[in-house]
Amino acid sequence: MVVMSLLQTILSVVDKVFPARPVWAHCDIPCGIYDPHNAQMAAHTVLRMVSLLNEIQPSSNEPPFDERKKIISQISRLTKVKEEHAEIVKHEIRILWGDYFKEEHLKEYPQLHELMWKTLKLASKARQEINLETAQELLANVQQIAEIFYKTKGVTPIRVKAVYPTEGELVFYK
Amino acid sequence: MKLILSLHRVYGRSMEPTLYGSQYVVASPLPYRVGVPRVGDIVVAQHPTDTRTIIKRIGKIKRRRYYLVGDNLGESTDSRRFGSVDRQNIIAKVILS
Repeated sequence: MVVMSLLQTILSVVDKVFPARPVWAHCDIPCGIYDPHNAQMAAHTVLRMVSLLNEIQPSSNEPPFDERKKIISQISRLTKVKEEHAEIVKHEIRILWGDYFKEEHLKEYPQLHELMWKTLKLASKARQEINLETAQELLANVQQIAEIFYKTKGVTPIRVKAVYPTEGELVFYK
Repeated sequence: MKLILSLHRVYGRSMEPTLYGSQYVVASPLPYRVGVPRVGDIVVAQHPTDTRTIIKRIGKIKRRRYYLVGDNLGESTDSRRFGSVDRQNIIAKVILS
């Protein structure tokens, strides 16, 4: 337990009359722990959701009400997950872009800014549409980012077949 | 009107072990009216890229630019990240803590 000094006690009383302004002894926690894996998983999920959405077929042009309910429910659930995971891609990419990648990386990979920017745009497009091509392009961009990330870490990136139903690839390192 | 003294409360751990989270500090711009910021001073400063007011120590001064660092280097986002700051970013010197 921290014992407050007399000065701190006095200042806490002053705080009640003249509220203290916050000052941030802040830390964005430069812990050095960054990983493109979450973005890859999320991009695979977006792709999977688009495939599942495309697989939904009614039994007829005018399906019975119960079937419609099921279809609407299924579309809602798949869309929700697609939305969430496209947002995860954006979140993870923003962290890599804003916190991890630095000027020296840009010198080596001058395409980085455009790649990041396009990936964010693609993730937004993937949210808006049910578009297999967009989802595939999103995954491809995330994989490119992952490869650059691992190279900047001094390790050799490799592509392995994912054990996901998307049957796409995941970028890891040797 | 700028206050002669201002009361602040510290949020975060970047100034440990000198200052802890929730600790109160009193700062004043006056020392920098009559003198200049010096290496080692703990200062209240305007973050160069966002709206936050930060508390850091002046680590280096070079060509009228101030390099601010946290005492707790392992958990501080400071000039190592956002670069050195202008004199006008430095608001006040911490005079009591």
